[in-house]
Amino acid sequence: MTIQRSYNLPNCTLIVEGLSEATFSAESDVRPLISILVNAECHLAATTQPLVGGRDFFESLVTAVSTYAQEFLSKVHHPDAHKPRLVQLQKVNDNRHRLIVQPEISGEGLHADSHSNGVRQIDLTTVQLFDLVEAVDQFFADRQTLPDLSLQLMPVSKRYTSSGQQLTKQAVPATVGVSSLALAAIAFFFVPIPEVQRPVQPRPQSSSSHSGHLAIGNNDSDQYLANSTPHNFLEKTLYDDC
Amino acid sequence: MQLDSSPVQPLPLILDSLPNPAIEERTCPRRTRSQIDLILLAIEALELGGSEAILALAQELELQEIIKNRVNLWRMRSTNPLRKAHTRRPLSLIEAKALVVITCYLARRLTVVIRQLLLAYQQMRDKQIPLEQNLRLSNYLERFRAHFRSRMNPRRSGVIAINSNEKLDELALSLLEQLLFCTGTAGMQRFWISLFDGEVE
Repeated sequence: MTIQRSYNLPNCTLIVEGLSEATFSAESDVRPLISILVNAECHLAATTQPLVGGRDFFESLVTAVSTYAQEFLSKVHHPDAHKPRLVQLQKVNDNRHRLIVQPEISGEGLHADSHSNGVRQIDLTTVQLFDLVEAVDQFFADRQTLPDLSLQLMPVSKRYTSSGQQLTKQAVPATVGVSSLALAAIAFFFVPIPEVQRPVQPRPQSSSSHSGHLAIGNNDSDQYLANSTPHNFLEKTLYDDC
Repeated sequence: MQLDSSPVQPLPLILDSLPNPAIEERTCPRRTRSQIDLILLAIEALELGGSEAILALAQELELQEIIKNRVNLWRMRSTNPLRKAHTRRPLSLIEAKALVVITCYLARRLTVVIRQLLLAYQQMRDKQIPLEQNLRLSNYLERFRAHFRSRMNPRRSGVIAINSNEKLDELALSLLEQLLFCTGTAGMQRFWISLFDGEVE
């Protein structure tokens, strides 16, 4: 006999149906542990047909939703959120988030919405997205249901962010500058000493060697101005001189 | 763990669910400091008597050893580099955690208001109706703009970049959406971790 648990939000209901591995569950066990998933359903207000699937689908759904939520919060690119998966979320614009669901191999119970090969695309508003995230988080918090699936949160490393990439871009002119300095030094080495008796002053090096140096000052960089959107202006202007 | 000069005391349990991020410094990066201050600003724009509410809640949650009084709170928030009163005082991880906990508790109290405002925003945007026509939304945006302009340094390029009404409204709405996520079951952890995206090794 399977056990069903549901996590209800105004725009999303998540239903997990499973089995308990325990051979003896006491009569007084109000909430037995579900350790095996038989079926999962995700009912969204944004669409009439629920998303249905097994373990692979469900695991992919909760992972994709959780990672996308973090990306949404910080506006920092999460490489994990963009890996090809059974379930993916993509940003359409500030208020539209596209849930894309590939068919599981068994493919049962899925009706194609707008695509013939069983791939489903559902657009969610931000509030609807939140309800989906919250349903998933309530599932994660329920330690009596598939406890091996739990909330895993880690901040994204700086090397994956655009500021990390910008640091790389700025380092390139620095290396070019340093190389040209080296070349200039070598070139000057071969310049013949003038014949006049007065001492030779070393020639001033070109200032281009400092072109790549990161500007570090008291104020934020002036590089990013009116075209920045509010959330990534913070990224770009605030920790550029870290 | 960084503690100030007071005798070592066990940290309030409520902070335990927020892990320390793997950053080199034991204090908060600039983006973190700025985000925390701005989201508190959004709360103040939602609810009058914001800073009193923050202090009262600090008391209630037994965080008053960390957020001692109004001046102490103001100093923490002034670690936001955009502020007129910006100081080079660091914001410790413990202080940041306390502020995040308070943010999320306050957000939860305001769940209904936050959802209503975002639903209104969504509908008006879909129908292409100017946001000013919704009184509650327009009040929130106006208060946010006023708070922002009165506290942030207009000479900083980061402030100049968004000092138009339109850009400030975008920021206010983005913060409102983040506040919605703060109301969730895992909102506190999610928001906390997101503050360090792109800041850790």
